Amino acid sequence: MSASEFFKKFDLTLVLATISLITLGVFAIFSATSSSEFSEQFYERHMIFGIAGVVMMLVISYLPPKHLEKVSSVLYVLSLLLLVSVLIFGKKISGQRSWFSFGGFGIQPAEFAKVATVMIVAFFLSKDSEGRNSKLGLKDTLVIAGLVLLPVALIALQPDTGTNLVFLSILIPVFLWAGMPAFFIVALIAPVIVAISAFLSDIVGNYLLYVVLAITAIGIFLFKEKQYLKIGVIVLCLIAGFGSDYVYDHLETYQQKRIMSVFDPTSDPRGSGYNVIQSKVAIGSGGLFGKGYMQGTQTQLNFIPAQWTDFIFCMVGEEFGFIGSVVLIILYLVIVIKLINNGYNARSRFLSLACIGFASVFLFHLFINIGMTVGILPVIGIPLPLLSYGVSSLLSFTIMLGIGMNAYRNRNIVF
Amino acid sequence: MTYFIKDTTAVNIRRRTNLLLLLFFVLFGIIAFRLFSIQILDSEKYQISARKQYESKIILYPSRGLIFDRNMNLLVSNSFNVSIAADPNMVTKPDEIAQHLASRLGQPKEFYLEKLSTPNTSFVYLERKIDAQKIQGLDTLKYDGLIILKEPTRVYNYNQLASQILGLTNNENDGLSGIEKTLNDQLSGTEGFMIMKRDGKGNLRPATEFPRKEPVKGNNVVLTIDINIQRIVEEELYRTAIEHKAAGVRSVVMSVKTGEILAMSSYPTFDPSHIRPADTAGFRNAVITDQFEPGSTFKLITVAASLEEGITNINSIIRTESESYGVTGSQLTNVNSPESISFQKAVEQSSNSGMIKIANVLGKEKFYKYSRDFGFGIPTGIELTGESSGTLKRPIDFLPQSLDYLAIGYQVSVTTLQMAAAYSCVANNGMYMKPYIVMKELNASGETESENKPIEIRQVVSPNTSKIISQLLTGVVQRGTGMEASLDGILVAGKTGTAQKLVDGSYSSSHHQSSFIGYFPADNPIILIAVVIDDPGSGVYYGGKISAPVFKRIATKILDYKSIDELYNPVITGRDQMKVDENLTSNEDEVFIPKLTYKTLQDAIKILNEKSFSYKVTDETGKEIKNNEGNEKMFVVLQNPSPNLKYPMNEKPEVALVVSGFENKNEEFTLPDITGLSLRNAINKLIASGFEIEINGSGAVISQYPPAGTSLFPGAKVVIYCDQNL
Repeated sequence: MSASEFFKKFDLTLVLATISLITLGVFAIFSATSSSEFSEQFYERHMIFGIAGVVMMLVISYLPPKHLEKVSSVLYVLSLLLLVSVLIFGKKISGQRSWFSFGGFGIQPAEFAKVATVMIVAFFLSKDSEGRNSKLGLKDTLVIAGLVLLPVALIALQPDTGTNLVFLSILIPVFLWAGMPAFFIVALIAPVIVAISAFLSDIVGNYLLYVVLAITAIGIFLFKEKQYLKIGVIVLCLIAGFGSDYVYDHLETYQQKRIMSVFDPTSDPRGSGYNVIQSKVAIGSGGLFGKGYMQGTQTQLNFIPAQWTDFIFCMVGEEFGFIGSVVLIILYLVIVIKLINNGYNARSRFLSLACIGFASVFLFHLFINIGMTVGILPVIGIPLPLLSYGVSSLLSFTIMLGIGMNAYRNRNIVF
Repeated sequence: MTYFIKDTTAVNIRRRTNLLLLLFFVLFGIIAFRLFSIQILDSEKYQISARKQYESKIILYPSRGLIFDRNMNLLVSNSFNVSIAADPNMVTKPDEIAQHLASRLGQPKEFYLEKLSTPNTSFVYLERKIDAQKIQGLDTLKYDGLIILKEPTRVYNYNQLASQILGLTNNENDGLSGIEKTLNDQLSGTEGFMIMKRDGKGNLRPATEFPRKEPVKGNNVVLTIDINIQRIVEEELYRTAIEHKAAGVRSVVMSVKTGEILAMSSYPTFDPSHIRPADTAGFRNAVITDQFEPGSTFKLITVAASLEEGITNINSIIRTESESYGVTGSQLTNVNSPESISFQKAVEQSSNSGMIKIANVLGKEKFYKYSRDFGFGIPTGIELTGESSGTLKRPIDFLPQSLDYLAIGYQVSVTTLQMAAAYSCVANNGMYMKPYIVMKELNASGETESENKPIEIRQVVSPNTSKIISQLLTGVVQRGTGMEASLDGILVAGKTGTAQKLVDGSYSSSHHQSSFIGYFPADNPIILIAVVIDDPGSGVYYGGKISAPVFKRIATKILDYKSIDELYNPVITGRDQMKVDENLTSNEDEVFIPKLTYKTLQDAIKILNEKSFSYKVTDETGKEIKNNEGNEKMFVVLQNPSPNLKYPMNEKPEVALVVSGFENKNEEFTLPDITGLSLRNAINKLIASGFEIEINGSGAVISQYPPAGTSLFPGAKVVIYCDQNL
């Protein structure tokens, strides 16, 4: 195989971007943990499992797509079993039972369930139709929703709302990709937007909810759809808007605090607002060029609790500044665009849908994670892909990228 | 259901792809805009709040100056006391803490529980300045919200000796009385500061990139007192007070040629190491604070003035038969009242009528002038707290019989020190010397900062007159009222005084102030001793009977301690001051732990043997080192107990030493190359090797001194220069 032939099948860009981000992760974790009591283990583990992850990614990229398709249902069942058993045997850490303690480090089944769920959804959507001439019926929609909601229900028992939101985020792009009409998607999104504005109106004022409801209603009526469907969606929005208070009252206290602290972090500066204030201070004080590697005061002095996990972006923002942050985001941009493109070009519908699913998982993680560190989204405990310390998430992301590479290898290009 | 969507065209797929990409760009546009706004637009604001969070200024407290006696015996040094405090808001286990402290410190558990539940405060003392014996284990207690403080405290190495002179400090280590108060500014030194970084958990660590202002140690003070003479005096005062059931006894020993105070004390006194509430009377340095009507010792004024003014000479005869000079209708009676008396005899026998007659010839203006010149009615200005000026009536305020009273030492109040200074003046050829007690101040490196020289105030009487007075006063001790003050082989000049105390407005025949003031050798005086017994209760109250013997015992003991020659030519033994600092001199029944860290094992063992401590030496791994070979290459890196802790002699602890043996690993001592490292790493590296560091600038290290590869001892200072100079 000539070099040019090799690169036609080998997604070098994706591999390089992945390796760059994992390497950056090792350095970031080293800096963030160097003054804490766990210093040596974390960056070493990230490095070791990063290498393992890249190897796995390469191996997966060479597997026949048919095998991947077949194995997806097995993986899905396996991950459901793991999710059940973690509820029984898992370690309870700060109110959540989401970890297996395994040989000194934790395994989080929910992370792997993300991969399996995307794969099973892709598998289901691709199974009875060849090529892209597909139909998505209501029945299919319900089945898919069921496939997603099963792990979501199990994860809700842990409870881990953050991870659950990732699962739900898979649905919309995949449905869109699979051919669901825009109205259907609006019907799914509109109640969520109304619910969020209901939360916000607690702070801003009640008018917000009414304005958003009005705009949503007008928007829905503009669709050329059956009236009863439109009315149904609007009713759904009303329920979401006025029911959100009820839901809010039934949330865990820490979740309520977290939601509230997004909108007004200073209301509880030592409590749930603390992380947001500290991460903003860290990132903001980094300025244009940053304070220099290992020189970030907020990072080095451990102002942000457990920064090496969900708040690792603070280290990048503080020590490498705006420029470093933008470079980091561009690296993610490369990965997400590659995944979408690979999905677009993939020969197999399964690989295509999986890529879009993974791309949206990445996108959601990135947006929520960075969004929370810069204080525009609630603190939802989900990791920054490839950078945050966490063996399970690191491995699950490299598996996703391996499938992404596989799609590149098996794309619609005449060799 | 046939709700189908058919998307079969590639265009449609492309559109959906673009929709996803659009979503992606919108979301990241939001993120990028947010980053831009906080990292570029508002960066300054966040930098300020970051700085506010992590920087915190720590005051570096200087160590308080030491106080030495004239022979550089260390009287007052410093130590630390452990105090336990708590932040009630942070305490999670109040019950356990209270239980623990109650079991160790004797207070009931409820006492601590109550303090731990103090509302609205983040700091409350649970136990302040815990006894050294009780500290064991308490100083390492770890509970949430518990604060262990090491507070500097003064160590009075001679317990009650000179306690009234030295004074006390308060809990903040500021002087409250005595030298501690008058020289507080000099002893305190100057505070320094350093910038600390506070981490997210509230722990502080040094911020190396900021300048650090070192505190300036307080000046050390050398006093004129001689602790051995002080001891003699205090022992005699105690003995006298008991023997004569006196309310108080006061004494001062002065060097007449200089005005230096050699010893000064009053009974009752107090022990600064064990203060009891009943001690309050003892806090007063009665020698300078307590005024009294001196009685016969004040006849000095009449004698000196009349001689100086030519009214009398050593051969004068005074007629005392005339009632007009007597004091009629008064209880103040003379012991011997012959009809006519020689001037010499009048002095020796302390004749009241004789003195009254002379004073009246002298006149009130002259009498007042000499009284004033001898220093009465004005404070001496000694560097101590609470000095009284006494009261001396101005002639204009004299009542008809005031001069008569004044002639024999009534209607005037004086302090013991004023009396001593006046007699010193006579002893010093009529030159009044300012009494002083601070000899010099030394700065922390042992250089003399300021030195007090003897100050001549004024020539009160001529040397000739003072010679005659000394002659007369010698007669007092040889033949007169002061015979019990005489010393073997040395002529003593002195005067007795027995004053009736003014009780409820009239002079009492049962309450007296009995005094003796004398100096020796009479022909060339060097030492003056004043003794005043306040209200002796044993029935004997004549100054000549009870105060003169005290003078004699003090003088005899001083002469046992120093020969006359040594007194004339004082040799300051002047031990190396820094040495004294390290090897604290201790009381016979107490022992201080010497500082041994960074000494070679050999030296450390030598010091321990000298002070007969038992000891145990281990290496860093805990292996005991019995064989002392190769000692010179081993350094003490840790010691337990800590230096300067005080222990009773009979409870000497075994000193545990941890040494680092470096003979086989010389590379440990080789200075590593730290250039190019971040400051933080450089510091970690150097501290790990036991070096001390001086930092210039911040950022990456650009050069170091000494250069890499140099072999250094642990504790050696390494200077680092960084690229950003501050």
